[in-house]
Amino acid sequence: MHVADRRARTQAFAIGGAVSALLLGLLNDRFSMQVAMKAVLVFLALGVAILATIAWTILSVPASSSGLSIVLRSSVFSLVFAAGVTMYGPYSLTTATIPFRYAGKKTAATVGSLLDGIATLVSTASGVGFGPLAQSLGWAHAFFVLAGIALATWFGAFWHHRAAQSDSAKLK
Amino acid sequence: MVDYVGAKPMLVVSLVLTAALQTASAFGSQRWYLTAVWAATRIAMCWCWPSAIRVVSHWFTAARIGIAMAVLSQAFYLGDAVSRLYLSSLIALGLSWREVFVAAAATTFAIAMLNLLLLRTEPPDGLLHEPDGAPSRETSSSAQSSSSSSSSSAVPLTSTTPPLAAADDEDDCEDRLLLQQQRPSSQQGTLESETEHLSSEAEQPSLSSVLQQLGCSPFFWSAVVWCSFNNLIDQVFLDWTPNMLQISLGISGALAGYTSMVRVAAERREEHLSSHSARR
Repeated sequence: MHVADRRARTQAFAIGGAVSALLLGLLNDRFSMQVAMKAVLVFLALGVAILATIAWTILSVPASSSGLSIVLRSSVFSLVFAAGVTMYGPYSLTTATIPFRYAGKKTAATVGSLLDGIATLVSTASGVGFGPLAQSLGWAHAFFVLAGIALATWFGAFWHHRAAQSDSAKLK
Repeated sequence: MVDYVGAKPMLVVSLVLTAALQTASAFGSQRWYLTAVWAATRIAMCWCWPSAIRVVSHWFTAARIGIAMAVLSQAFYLGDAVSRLYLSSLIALGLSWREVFVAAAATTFAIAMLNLLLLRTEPPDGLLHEPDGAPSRETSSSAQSSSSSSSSSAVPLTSTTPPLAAADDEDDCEDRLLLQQQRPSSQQGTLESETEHLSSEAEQPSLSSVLQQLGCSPFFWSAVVWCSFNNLIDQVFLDWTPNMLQISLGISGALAGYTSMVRVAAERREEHLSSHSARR
């Protein structure tokens, strides 16, 4: 695969996230936060399936393969784009919209920075943990682990959705 | 700090510090030096996002905050791609890596100055952008929104919204709007003046009380869990997808690095190697 081709696939993730963030923002404004959250839950569930499919795709490509067919190239592009839509877009809802909805404009920045700060600390695990994991288990199994983390993300989002509906969770 | 010091000073200080540290990056090549400077750069940069959240939350009501934040978040979705294109073009022009850092610092400083001169952190006289695009007063927009469809989330944040009082509480907002609508017009004026009074008296809650409330809130902690795992997956994709595509899907060549600049450099090296081998 050519260098530019590979870069395009990486950018596909960011572009997918950008499209998804705008879509969720529109849903949030046009309908309600509840509708946007339901869309997020659907997206994240699809994300689990997409990550598992990426892992399966990696498994299905022979190690000795020197290049990819056009069909497989398009599949990889689509999968990375879809992963961006389902996994990258919803992140903007957590770091941007929730602080405002939850805290109001006076303390939105405090809540937003706490959320983003903790998330950034956790994400450092991607730098120190994922590489060794991919080396020891192989990329396919590492992506299966990632699908498991995506499932945990779904449960976190579901918990949040339920907590938002509960009166006791609301801050007064 | 952004909520207590203000968005504009924190944003400008953050950008100026970032520019200074980017310049400092150009004057060293030892690993410890670059690690320390880069860590400090990330600390300086971390004030930008909360400042942006604060500015946007003051400019837009709940009815438009979703799309406003979505557009704002394009900064980290597409900004990365744009900055890579910009820096790659500088490398293509023949600038050394030190000169690229200086150019990036100059750009950051220019952005800081633009923000210092042009950024208005709050709309003038409490004007907020409403869904119809026309600015109107918060208080009058409340009545306007109440006449719209009940399924719509067009619930502007009134200035009576207490700090940390769940601006997402649409039922409460709707009740408040209904109450306002049901009052006789003579009393509505009273409510508006009451609102303005509360607005002027509303104080910034102390950081300790904010943290105390957050600490025991399932709403916040569930968002933390969701946000953390989501960010972890995103970072894996952003940092490792090129490697995965390279190694697992039949792509030969040098390993791409952890950071984007190393990745660009690795890709350029690979391009150079492939063109060199093609010539041979």
